[in-house]
Amino acid sequence: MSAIEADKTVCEGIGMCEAQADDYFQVGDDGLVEVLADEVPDPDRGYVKAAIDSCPVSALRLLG
Amino acid sequence: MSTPHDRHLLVVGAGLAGLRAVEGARAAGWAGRITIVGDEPHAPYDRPPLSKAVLAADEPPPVPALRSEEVLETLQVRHLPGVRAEALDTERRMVTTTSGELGYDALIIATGSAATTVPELSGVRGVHVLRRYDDALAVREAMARSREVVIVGAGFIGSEIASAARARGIGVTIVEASERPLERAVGPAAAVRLMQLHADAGVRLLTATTVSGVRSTDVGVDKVELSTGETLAADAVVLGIGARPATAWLRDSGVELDARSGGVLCDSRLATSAPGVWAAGDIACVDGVRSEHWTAAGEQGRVAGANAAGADAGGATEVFAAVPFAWSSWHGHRIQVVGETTAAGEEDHGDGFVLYRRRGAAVGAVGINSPGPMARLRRALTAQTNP
Repeated sequence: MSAIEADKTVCEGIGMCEAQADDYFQVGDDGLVEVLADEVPDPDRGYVKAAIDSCPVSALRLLG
Repeated sequence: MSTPHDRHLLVVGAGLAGLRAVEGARAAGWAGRITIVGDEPHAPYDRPPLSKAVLAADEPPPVPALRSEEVLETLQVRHLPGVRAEALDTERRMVTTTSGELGYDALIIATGSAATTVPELSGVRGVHVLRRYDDALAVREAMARSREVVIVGAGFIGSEIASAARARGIGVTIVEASERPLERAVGPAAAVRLMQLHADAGVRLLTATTVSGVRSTDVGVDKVELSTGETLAADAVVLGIGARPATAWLRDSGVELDARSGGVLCDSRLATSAPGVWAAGDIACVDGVRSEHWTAAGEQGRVAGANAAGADAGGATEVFAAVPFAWSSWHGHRIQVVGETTAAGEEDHGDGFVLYRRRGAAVGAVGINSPGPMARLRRALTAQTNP
C-alpha cells in the first residue's frame, strides 16, 4: 500500500494525472488537483506511479 | 492486437513527443523492437522546467528526466543518445544517422524545434538561447554572474526567463521587435494584462525595438546597442524569439513539409505523406496547425505511437483532437491559455480572466491566477471536441 501526496501550490491543473488515473485524480472546480483516494493498493501502483511521473510540474509524490 | 516480435519501430527525437510515442505504441500492443534516437547526450527529459526550476536552482540541477530508468526498462526501448538523424529514405525505410543507418517498419518523427537565432549574434560570448538542458545550465550560470540582463523577445519563453532573472534580483530589460507583444498568441486586452505583470515586477519592456549590436568582453556581454540608438549595460543577453521545426534532414525524403513553417504535414491521425511514417510534437503540422505546446506534444506522441502500432497490426487508428492548453509562471503569477485566443471577440472580465468568443460561443480564454474558471472552460471545450 502506498500513499499519494499532492502539492496544490505548484499544481497547474494540466490534468495528466486525471487522464491516466481518473480513479485517483481529478482536476477540481478550483482548477487544481484533487486526490480522490489517498491510499493506493499494490495492484494499482504501476499506473498510478506512471500518472504521477507524468506531471510536468512535479506536484505529486507517491509515498511508500 | 499486437505486432510480430521482429518488427522495428524507430522514433527519431527523444523529447516528450518521442517518449510518449514509445508509451503509446506499447500500450497499443506493439510487441516488436523500439529504438528512440536523440541528438542530445541525456536520457529523455522534460522541457518546461528548463525555463523555470532549472534557472531558479542555486546549484546546477540534474537533468529533469521524463521517466525513471526502471520505467524505461519496462518499456523495453533502446535509447541511442548523442545520435542525430541526417537523412530519410522512405522507399528503403532507412534513416541515416551520425552513427550509421537504422531501418524501420514504422517511423515516428519527433525531432522538435530548434531555437531561432540572430545570425549576427550567433557565437558572440554571453549571448544565449534557451531550448535544451545544456542551454538552460549556461543561462543559469550566466544569471548567477549577472546584475543586468537583456532578454530579446517578450513571448512566453522570454517572459519566463525575465521572471527567473527578477527572482534573482537581476535588472531586466526585454527588447521586443513588435509594437504589440504576444500578438500571435493572445488578443490585445490579454497582452496588456500580461505585460503589466512585467511592469509590476520592475521589468523594463521596450517594444518596437531590436538589438543592433552586442559588445562583449572575455567574460561576457558588456554593452547592448538598440535600434533606437540607446545603449544598455548588460552582463548577458538571452534570445527568446521563437523556434523553427528541426526538419532540414527530411528534405527530399518523400515526407511532405509545410512550405511556410517547415513542419511535417500530417492528418489528424498524425500520418505523414509517406507510408509507415507518423509525426508528433512541435514539428507536426496537423491539418495545417502546429501546436507547439507541452500538452499537445505529449498527446500527439501517444496517438502517433498508438496509430503506428494499430496500422501495423491492421487495427483501428485514433484521432488527435485535444483542446490547446498551455501554462506559464511569471513573477509568481499562474498564467494559463486554453483554446482559441486570437479570435475577434475578446472580453476582459477584469479579474484576470479574458474570454474569447466566436459567434457568441466561448472558444478560449487567458487566465491570470484564475485556475478555476480556466479548468471549467477547458472541460466544456473538451466535451465539445470529443462528444
